[in-house]
Amino acid sequence: MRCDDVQELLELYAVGALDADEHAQVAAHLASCPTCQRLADELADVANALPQALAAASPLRMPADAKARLLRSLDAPTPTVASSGDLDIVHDRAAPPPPSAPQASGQTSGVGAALDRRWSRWWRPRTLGTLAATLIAVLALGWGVQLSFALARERALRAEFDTLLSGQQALVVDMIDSPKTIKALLRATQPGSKAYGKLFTRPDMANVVVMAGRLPEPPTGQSYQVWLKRAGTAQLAGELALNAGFGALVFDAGQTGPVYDSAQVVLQPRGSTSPTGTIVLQWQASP
Amino acid sequence: MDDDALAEEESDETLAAHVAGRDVAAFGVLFDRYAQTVYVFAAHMLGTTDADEIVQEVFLRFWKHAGQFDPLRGSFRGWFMAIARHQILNELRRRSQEQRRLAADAIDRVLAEAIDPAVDVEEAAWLHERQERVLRALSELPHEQRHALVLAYFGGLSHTAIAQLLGLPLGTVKKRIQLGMQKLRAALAQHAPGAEAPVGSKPPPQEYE
Repeated sequence: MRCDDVQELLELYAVGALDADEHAQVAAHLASCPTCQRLADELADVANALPQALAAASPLRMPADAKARLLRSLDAPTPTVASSGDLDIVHDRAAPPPPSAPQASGQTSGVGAALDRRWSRWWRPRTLGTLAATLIAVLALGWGVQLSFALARERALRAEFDTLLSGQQALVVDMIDSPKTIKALLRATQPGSKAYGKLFTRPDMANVVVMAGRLPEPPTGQSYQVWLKRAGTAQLAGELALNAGFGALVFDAGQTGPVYDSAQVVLQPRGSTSPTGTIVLQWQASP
Repeated sequence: MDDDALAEEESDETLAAHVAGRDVAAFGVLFDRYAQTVYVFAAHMLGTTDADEIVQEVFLRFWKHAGQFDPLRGSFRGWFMAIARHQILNELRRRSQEQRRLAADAIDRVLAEAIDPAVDVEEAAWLHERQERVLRALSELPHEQRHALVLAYFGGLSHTAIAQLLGLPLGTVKKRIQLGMQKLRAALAQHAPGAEAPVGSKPPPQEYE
């Protein structure tokens, strides 16, 4: 193959789209042609940006203990670990077999087209008349973008949210879907984390709604606790049950229009009575 | 490499050399840099359970064979992601073409909607500049070009298979992949010099067209 012929095929080569014989011919040429090899390297770099882009855009997250399991297995005498029989493998219980499920296709229009991801249009889902639409909008807003992904799992999510919010859906809609709603953003404290949280209060209601997204599954025995602080006193608002990294809870502050100085999501052993674990999300009122 | 803080700043290639010398700290840093990428790719195509196992297998393989990486023959990222993709596609061969296509279609949608022009600032702040550039370029690609790229790279389908699957002439699929890659390359080339990708200093695509 001449350089011209090879260069014609380099984009396909980079994404692995050549048939086996063509691929072998190009590889053979590259081995002896530094000029074409350099071009192939550049395109490989572009191709490698694809999975990195997907990782940035996707809501899927690796189990939190994956690294610990791997490092443990390095010391194992026969390092053929990671068989599915390992007891300590924590599977992502929430995520369904992702896109290969049949319902993953054909659901991007309809509700999807009607929903808008911008905060300013949050009011809209109510006019659509379903709580699921509102919750999906919240989810998509949080993740920024994976609306079709969320919609593909709408049915599962609807059931899951019923559990997560234990029958308080109407209240949640009132809390987050009102011109009176006051929102605070909880930011990730760990470098590299894309987790985020939102705290919702209303001056005319005693409830607090906290939602968080992009959280990895907590290690066994631990959970994400939401702590709210006021005048130096920390109060436990509850533990976040996760569905695909997303969790929500409703808390009764005991007084109308609660005001807080800070809020934290803390990863620590289940049932802890003070916020002493790892702070994963934090919000602080401006002084 | 005992100093974790130091390890964080080392290049992939330096860390890989340390891993070949059985340096667990260097191994951990490379895990942090690449595991999520491998996991998400695998989880979308194979499901989360298989993805979890693939991450373990790929990194275990790397731990055992890190000495085989030769920095003179290319970047660590290229070498490592080729291994990871190979492992994922190996598993994917057991699935039907239709399953692969559905999975790839879902990836396509995630990428298509990755950047909302009206996305709020808090979301944009989570993305690194290079990621944002790629995502933006991907979401702005004509759908048919992105779809072809996704079917090939993530779905492991050849241009012949894609042409059959979509009922298109071979030349059309080829052109879509070429154009899509050239646009992505141009988008990456605009990336500020000195960033992680060396693409910025390279000639634009038309030079070898």
